[in-house]
Amino acid sequence: MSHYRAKTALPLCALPFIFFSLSVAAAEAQVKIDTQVGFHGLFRLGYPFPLRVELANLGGVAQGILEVRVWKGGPARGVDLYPVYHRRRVLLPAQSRKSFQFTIDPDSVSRPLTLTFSGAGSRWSKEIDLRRHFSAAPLLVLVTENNFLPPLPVGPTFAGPLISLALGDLPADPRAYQGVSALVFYEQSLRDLSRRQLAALEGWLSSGGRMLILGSLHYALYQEAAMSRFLPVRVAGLKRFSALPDLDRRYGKAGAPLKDLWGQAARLVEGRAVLEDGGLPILVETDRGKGKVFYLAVDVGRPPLSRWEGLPALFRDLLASLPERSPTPQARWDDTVFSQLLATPSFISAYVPVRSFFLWTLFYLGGAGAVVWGWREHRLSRRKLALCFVLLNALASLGGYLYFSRRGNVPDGVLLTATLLDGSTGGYAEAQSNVALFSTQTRAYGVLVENGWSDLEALYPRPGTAAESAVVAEEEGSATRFSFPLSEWGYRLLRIRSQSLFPLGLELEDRGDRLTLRLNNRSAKDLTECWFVVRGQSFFLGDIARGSSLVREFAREAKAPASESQRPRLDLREIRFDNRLHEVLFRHSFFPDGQGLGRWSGDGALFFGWVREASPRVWTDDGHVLAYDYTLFRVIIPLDGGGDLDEG
Amino acid sequence: MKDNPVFREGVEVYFVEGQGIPVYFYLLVTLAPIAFLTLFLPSLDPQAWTGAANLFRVSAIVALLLLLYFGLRLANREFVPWRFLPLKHWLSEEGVGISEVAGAQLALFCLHTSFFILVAAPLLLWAGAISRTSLGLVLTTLGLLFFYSFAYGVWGLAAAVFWERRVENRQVFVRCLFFALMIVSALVYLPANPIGFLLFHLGRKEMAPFVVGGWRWPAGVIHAAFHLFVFGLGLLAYRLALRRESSQ
Repeated sequence: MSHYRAKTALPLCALPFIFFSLSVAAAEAQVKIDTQVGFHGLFRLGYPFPLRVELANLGGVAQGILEVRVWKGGPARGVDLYPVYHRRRVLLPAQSRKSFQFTIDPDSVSRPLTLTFSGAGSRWSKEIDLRRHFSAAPLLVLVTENNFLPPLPVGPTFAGPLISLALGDLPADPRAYQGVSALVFYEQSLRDLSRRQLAALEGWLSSGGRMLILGSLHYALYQEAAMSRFLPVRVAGLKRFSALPDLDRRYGKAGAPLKDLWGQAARLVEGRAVLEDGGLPILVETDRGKGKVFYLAVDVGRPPLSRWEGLPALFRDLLASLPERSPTPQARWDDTVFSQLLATPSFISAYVPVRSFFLWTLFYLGGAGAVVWGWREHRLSRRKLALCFVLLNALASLGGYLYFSRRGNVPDGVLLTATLLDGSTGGYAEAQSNVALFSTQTRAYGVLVENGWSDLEALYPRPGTAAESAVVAEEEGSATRFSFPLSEWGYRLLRIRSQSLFPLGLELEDRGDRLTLRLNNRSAKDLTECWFVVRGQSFFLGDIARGSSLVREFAREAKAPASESQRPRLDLREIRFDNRLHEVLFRHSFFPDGQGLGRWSGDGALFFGWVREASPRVWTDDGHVLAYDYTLFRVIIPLDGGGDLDEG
Repeated sequence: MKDNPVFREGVEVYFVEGQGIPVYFYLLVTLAPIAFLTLFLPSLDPQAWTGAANLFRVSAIVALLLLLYFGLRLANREFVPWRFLPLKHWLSEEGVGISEVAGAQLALFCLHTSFFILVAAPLLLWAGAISRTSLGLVLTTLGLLFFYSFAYGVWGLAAAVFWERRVENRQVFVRCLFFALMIVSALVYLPANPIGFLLFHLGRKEMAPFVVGGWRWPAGVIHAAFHLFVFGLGLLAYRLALRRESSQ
């Protein structure tokens, strides 16, 4: 009997629990939105920054869309304001918390960010005032597991704030680091970094970031595979240094010299040893694309170095701003350039059914005329003639509509991507991708941009509503999808910047009376229609296949011109290409006259060539959109001072 | 309505005898070549697609102007006026009431307008297909053309009654009224103008609201209200004219 009672009691006891669970699941979702702006609430003004959004679901299951609205454009940018919606599809289990990270780049902090979660028939939103979170100076980020590290003596020369960050808080988007001047690692295991976070750090480094890896006694942390990706040395163990005279001489101008300090014994793998002792590198510097990595073998977090008076000078040197590179000429991309492209017949093969329209009109007018003649001449009864006219009208209307709407191969839209690769050192190239999407229909379009882009500007040529100019950004694996509406015969222009790997070795040797050019195409793509322009002369180099080399010699002028006005200038419009679109892009976008690039002066050598079948940076997965992709690689070599120049 | 003698007279003269056919012919021979040239002329230019892009817009505006013009003239009885019996005959001798006369003439004008739309429809549908304009937009445009034609045409009916025996007076009146309404509405508030509204509607552009003394009215509401006002006033004038005619 008691067993029977237990058996029946158990399901009865479970009933309230099941009922409670169901009621929780069926309960209305109540979502709370929490945010963290930038790095511990701080970001650098004018640069992209990470935004962490935490959704806490206090009710039942909720599925919806999380959206962050950011305003771009404005008078400072010279374009009308337009909203960009960063969107993420979210599934929130009941009573759960989920965190999402965005990288956003508002063009102004005067307008607040608006976060919205729409789902479960409801909508929750929150506004964030960015004016409390920005710093005008660049940020310095320190990542360390050591809770006893004394404050880094960065000195008064560095005006930016020092922010201590946990490893898990490092963003997984290289763009988020653009406002960070340097990232400092000290006694930190990188094992728990995700692949995306590692890739983000590498991307940020190659685009100009600076990383400081400070050695410590826990040398095993510096032997991890993840850390080895960034270290220019291979750490073998520890070594006791009785003195470091080079370090003292360089930074310890006053005070007692360093004695008996521990440091890491390492072997140089890349870069150069700025300071070394007994063959062991103490301070190493290496380039990573446009960025730099510094490694310091000695432990700054422990005595005697932590109390050393030369430490501020050392950090001042390590954190000094990188010398400003002369900016590369930007490609022009605006309505004027696009109008030139539109005027090119090969841009869009328009369906203009002049003959068909004429024939259908003849058919209709002829048929109507025949009905009218029959009416006047009483050939047929009025009823029959009326019926004939109705049938004629129906046939003409329906038949003509179906005929004209189905014929022709005009695409819904045309996507044109014109990328200019500006070669720089280390095999990297700065890519400017200028994109135009022209529409023949009123519909929404999606354009995919390969991850790794650092800046995107979406221009909306006509004044319109926020809904018409809005852009929606959604992460899709290795790309970001940008969606926006276009009306028929409308267009939208985009400008995207990124870093790309294009190892082209170019060496120019000045031998007095001759210039020798050596080209080594180590990239994976062929270059076609290559030209070399130097001292007012242009030389056609033809095609340079991938993996091949080219050596050419050019005679130099007998005497140098006396003044700049006498320097020979070449009109680049004299250079012709087989493809008409190549010519339009070359003349109006890549080397526009308005920026003084149309006439090439003799104070720099110019090499350029079209990349055959370049990997698309911007594409569409819509089969109704015709896509064109053109990539021009160019290198500008200053010739002041002469001598060997090596690019790439 | 079939038994209404005024209506039957109109149908007999315009349709059975075919006296109204030239008006539809004028509409077609004006609209068709303009549409063709809109398509053909830009095809001689590298930007050939601009012809197709603008075809429906141009055709719709031309159709609107032609419908308004010929509709007013038809309502004003400028075509074969001698074939129609005077109103006095219907009101006094035949004993037809004012309402019956008004109903008949309005129904006849509605029939004319419908026929105008029917005749122009194939050309507008082809233009819409070539311009890749959605079918919904084409059909709403046809609806708007009917609405405008009717709203303005009622003034032609009123003028035909007011100045039944003075042909020149009513011809001048309807033309002046047409141009005045077009110009004044465009100058005061562009979305109130039928051409302006059609261009905004086809371009799917947002129209600026009408602001008076702090009150903001949506453009669509003002447009509809303005044309309903024009129609209502025309109907009132038409009614007054008929009353005056019947009392004489």
